[in-house]
Amino acid sequence: MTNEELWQKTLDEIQCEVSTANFITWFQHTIITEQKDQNVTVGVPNAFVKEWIESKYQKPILKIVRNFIPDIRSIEFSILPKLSQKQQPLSVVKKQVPQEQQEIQELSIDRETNLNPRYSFDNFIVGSFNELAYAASQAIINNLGAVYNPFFVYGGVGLGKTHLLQAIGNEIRKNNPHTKVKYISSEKFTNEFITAVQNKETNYFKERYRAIDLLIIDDIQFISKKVQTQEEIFHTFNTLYENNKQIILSSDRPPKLIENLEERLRSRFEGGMIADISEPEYEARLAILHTKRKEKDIIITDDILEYIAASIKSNIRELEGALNLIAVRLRLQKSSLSLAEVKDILSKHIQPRKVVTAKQIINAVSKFYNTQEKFLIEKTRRKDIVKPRQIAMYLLREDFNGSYPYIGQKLGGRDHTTAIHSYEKIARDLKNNKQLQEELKQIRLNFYYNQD
Amino acid sequence: MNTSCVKEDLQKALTITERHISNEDNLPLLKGVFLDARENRLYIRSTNLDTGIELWIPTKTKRKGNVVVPVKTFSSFLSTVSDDRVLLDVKNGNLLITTPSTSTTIKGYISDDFPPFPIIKKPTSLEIPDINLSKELSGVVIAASSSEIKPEISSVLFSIQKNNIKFVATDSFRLAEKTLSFKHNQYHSLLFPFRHIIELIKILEIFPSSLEVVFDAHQVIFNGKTFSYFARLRDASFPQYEQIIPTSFSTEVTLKKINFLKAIRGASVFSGRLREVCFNVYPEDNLFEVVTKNSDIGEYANQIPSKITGERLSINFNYGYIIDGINQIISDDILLRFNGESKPVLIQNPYNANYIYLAMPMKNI
Repeated sequence: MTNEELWQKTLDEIQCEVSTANFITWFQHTIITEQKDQNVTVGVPNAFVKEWIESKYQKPILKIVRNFIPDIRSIEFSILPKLSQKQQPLSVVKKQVPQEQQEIQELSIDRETNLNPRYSFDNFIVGSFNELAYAASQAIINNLGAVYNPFFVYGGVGLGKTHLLQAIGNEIRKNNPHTKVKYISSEKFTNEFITAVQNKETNYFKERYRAIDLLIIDDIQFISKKVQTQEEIFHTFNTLYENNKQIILSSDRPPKLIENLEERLRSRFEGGMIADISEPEYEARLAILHTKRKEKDIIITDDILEYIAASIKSNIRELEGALNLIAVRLRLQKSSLSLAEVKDILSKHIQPRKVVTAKQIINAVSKFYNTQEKFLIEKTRRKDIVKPRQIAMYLLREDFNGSYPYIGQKLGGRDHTTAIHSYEKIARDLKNNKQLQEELKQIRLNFYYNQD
Repeated sequence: MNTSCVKEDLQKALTITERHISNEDNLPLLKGVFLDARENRLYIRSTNLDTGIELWIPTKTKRKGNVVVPVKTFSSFLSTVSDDRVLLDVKNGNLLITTPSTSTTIKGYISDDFPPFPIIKKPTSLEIPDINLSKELSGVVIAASSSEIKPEISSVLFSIQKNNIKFVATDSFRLAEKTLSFKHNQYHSLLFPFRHIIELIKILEIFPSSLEVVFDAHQVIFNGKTFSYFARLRDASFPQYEQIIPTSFSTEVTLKKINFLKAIRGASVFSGRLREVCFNVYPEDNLFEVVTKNSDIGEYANQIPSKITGERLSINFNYGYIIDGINQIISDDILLRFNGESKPVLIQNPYNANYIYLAMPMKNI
């Protein structure tokens, strides 16, 4: 007999014995939650009902239940607040607060988890650029802590790392609201840690983090150079890991390229699953724009979307920015926009990539390969120099738009055919060589974002 | 039962218990109070099955006994009695009330059916010593959200730390926090529906007392000297609000509370539907200006000499939020601390920061 059937039959008999008023007051919101080891547990909505039934009805209920299942020896009662129907009627109309009154922003995100409900998988576009990360995250959702632990996601700015991470957290909370999820950026983690140290509350801090089922740390690369924080993360990491709690990390580069990261942390980050999110291809960009158009409910034609997808290549956030820009313009002028107008708007607002100089490129390449600029220029044909030199030539052509003779001349007075050969070789290798792609991405990151 | 007590004591007790009876019609018993005469004490109990209260008043008891009577009838009757002492007796399950000038019978219910006061098994407990607790709590509860849409902020937080206890509430437009020093060896975060705290304040206003808080995961009993109040804990967690409270400020203004209140009241006359007032801060002249303009009614400006440090500022607020905050501060001077026109203002006593009140501005209109 299932719990429901048993309790229904029991209630039917009780109903004959007590007054209707009593029955409604005391038995209306009760259920059997468990039958185990000859014991039945009855869930009741609050302490009053518990005391009451326990003192007045425990024996009669046991007697009735044993008529159906003679094995039962005892009955227990436990309080389940969710059974209580005594909730205040929800004021359906939210009290009208004028739009001009500002709210404390920080309160709208869930403070326990830090998750922003805006991010979900419903509006997450999957393409070849992120399908590995997506597949891994699905596996993690279905099997928390058991596969891919830790899960390390890396990729450039504005490619949806945070979206993916928060969506995992939200999905898990949706499936099981009792899972303790914590999303935090590494900077905030550091700040909280420092505050805890100042207030001599480190134990409390530790306890709080070690009672979590899913810990998500965003932008972990910012803990480089912060020795104490790294140590704290290390210990938190170990505790969670040993207890099979899931850990998810994100960064703008793979663990081995995070500078000043302690070796023991690095090896731990690499111990689970590493997935990269690269730049979305044209089709994915277009798909993203289509979803956003629907979300924002703006009326623009497909050819405009195609134009945006073709002109903004590297960054999903910029895609959204461009769309916002067009939406605002549409609202202002209240008539549809032509493709030419869109081109005009975008050309004014989309920032071109930062300008780099040939010197910066050469400097970044030599730094990355741990060699000196003069070796790149020298006439040596050593293998460890040839490759950086070819990459420098490739970058000078691709990102600096230098002419071949100029490139040859810049790198030790070489012939322009050498430059052409180098460019073509690297371009060819790039197609198949993942390692090389990653290296180039990192070098570019260095000269575009970390210019001294 | 045969017991006599002071009428006023009994009336006080009934005004509190009256607030905790059930509104539902299917069990009239729960619209009553349970009177239990024991040695030298009369215990009075009521419950609506969500919260419950039990309190006692001193009596001279000749014979112990108990009865349940409808509280409305009982208290309406008492308010008409002009004598000081009343004698309570039970006959045939009905309550007999005798005073020097009156004699009354109120029909009672079977007291065996009245729910017992709940006990919390395996509780944690802590003691809050302050005897002015009702005032401290009412300074915070004003900021709680009255809408149940977001239960976590339609609440009051008791945050217990090593050296202090904090009471906090917010409705996302303002936030109030009271800190009391307090010794305890464990951290606790207790969240109560704000309505329960309003009830607690009412109880403490009539029966001032220190407070023993006894709780488990879902429920709590507040024990005072003469009362026990049973309530629910909120099954949600309060936002982590600490980082919302700014620690550095770009403009700080100290002014006389009385001048400030007058100016805001004046400005409120000329304020529109949005209840907006504008504050202009002129550090170079040490002037704080309260301005309102309304094309239908007129204009108002009041300049208050103040002590000002920091940058010039012009900022708009809902005056209701500001008055709420100022009224909680017991000091002749008020310190207003700003961080530009889109960040909240922090209102506090300049000499004591154990109460702080944060209010968000309005956008420029």
